[in-house]
Amino acid sequence: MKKLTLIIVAFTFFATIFISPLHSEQRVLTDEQILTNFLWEELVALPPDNRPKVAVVLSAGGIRGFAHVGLMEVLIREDFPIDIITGISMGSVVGGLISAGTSLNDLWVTAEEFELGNLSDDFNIFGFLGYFFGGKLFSSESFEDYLKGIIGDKNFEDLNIPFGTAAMDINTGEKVVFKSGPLLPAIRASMNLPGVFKPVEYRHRELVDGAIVEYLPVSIAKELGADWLLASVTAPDYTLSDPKKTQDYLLQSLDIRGALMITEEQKQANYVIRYDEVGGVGTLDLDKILYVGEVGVKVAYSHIKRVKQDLILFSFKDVINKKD
Amino acid sequence: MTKKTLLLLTLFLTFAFASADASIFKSKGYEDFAAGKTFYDNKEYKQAILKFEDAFAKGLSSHKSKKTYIMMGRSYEVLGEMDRAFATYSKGLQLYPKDLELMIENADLYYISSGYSKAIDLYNQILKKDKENYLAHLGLGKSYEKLGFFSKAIGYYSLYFDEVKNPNQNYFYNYAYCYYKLDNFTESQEIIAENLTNTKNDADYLFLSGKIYWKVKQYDKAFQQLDKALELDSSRRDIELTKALWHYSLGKYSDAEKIANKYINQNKEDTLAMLVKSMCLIKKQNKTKADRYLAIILEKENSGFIYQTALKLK
Repeated sequence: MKKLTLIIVAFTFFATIFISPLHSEQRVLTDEQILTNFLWEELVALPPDNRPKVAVVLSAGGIRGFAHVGLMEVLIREDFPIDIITGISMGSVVGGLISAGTSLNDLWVTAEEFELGNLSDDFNIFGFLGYFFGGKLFSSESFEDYLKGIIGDKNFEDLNIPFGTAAMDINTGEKVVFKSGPLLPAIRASMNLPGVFKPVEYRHRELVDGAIVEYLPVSIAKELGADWLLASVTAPDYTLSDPKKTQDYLLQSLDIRGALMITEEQKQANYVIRYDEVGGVGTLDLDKILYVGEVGVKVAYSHIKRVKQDLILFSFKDVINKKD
Repeated sequence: MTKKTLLLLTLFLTFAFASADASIFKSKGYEDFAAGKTFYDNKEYKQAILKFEDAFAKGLSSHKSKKTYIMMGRSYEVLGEMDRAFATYSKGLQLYPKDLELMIENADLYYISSGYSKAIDLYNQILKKDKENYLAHLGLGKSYEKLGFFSKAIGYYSLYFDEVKNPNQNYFYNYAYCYYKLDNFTESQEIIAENLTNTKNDADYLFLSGKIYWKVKQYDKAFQQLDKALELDSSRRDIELTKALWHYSLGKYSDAEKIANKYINQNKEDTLAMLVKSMCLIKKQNKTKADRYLAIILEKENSGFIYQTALKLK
């Protein structure tokens, strides 16, 4: 009996120690949550013509740009109205694929399975010898075939969501905007890193990465009729990198130029989401692609309440004056 | 072994025991530990901390001190002194780096301090030592939910439910909520239905169920769920004001206003209730009266979403 009592006492003692007085979750909604949730439901229920046109603008950024996939996942899950998508470079790849109807699940799988070899058939010993010793650039032609395998051969006019992108004419320095015609060459041109890939010959021009002339394509979104712009900015933090090789210096120069352009371009957006946590990820750090995507989800989700509130207030007259 | 050696050994052991400190049977600092624990159990956390500190100063034995670090850390948490709670667990982990209970407490503290990514790292470290640690699975579920990774959260909650015989019922709400966020309303409703207990705790489940019906435009059922929730817990102002806003959305302004009036009468500074009332008054073409309420809201709220909404209505 004594032994039993001892066991019971001991059990009670330790049980009380490990039943924490803490960690109970409060589920009562705050007033702000009640109001935001309600007005958001009202906003998303409006027919598209009865509210402002919403654009999601995806910046360049190489592998960092995969954070846009995280953002898109959050937006789609929250029933975010998306009327227009614009993107440059990696933003063009992500935006183009989503506009063409690629599911988010397929995008994550694509990222997981992506190899640098998908960008160019020249990524082999001969290609590298030619690049380093013969000054011969890699061809990005096979990237178009790779994209074709995912979304088929589509035109801008066939897309589920209106989409726009841009590249730069290496001979004139002009920004070349794509909003119509074949989609794949436009995406390829938009992410065609100069000094690494051969310029894309298209529409009688030689085209390279659009990020050199517009890192965050806010102006294209406005051309497409956007009223309210959400900018997704995967800006580089070039202070974290330490270039050693020729290509590093080239990419670093593009990053610095990009960071400078973003400062001005993002002022034209209504709401800006930045992913500073991935600022140090290099343009071609392929092994970090999933990590970057997850940071995208995390950062976007932490902003979502404020993004919704901003759009609600911008659309307030439409929300409150909806027809009964 | 010779007789002489045996005798020497016996003598040595006798002396060793005789001269040993009583701590072999009763730890140093035990009395302070026990007193601290009593304070802790009685939710007198400040006194508990003082006693635990005394126990440490007197050299509390290792087994007890592990528990003491946990209770002391928790006491700091309750008192809102998170830095000290972190420091306590950190000190405990320096002494007992492999102690899973301390590791869980430390990870949980990061979770409740909104350090979800760090918490995830720590829970994963625990799983490396004990791959079926249900508390780590639960922590991962909660942390991923907070970060917006609902599919991952569902996966970890499932592991937790599978591993624990009597899981904490509260977490079935989180489980249902994750399915709701993924638009899997059927699964969410099933989890809700399975976990209703006809107690006050059901209010959250019924509110969630109502929101699902509202989303799929089954308005009558949505209101029914809210009414049931309010029957079980009439103190849920958030549920009732949501109901008011749903009435407003369907053009039932008088019903919405009735609820708003109830809360304004209870609290003259209830700005959300006043906002609902103003919205109804505007719809009823009584802008002058609405403006009076809006002016009060703008005076009470200096910024924030309610303030900005009132400003838009004015």
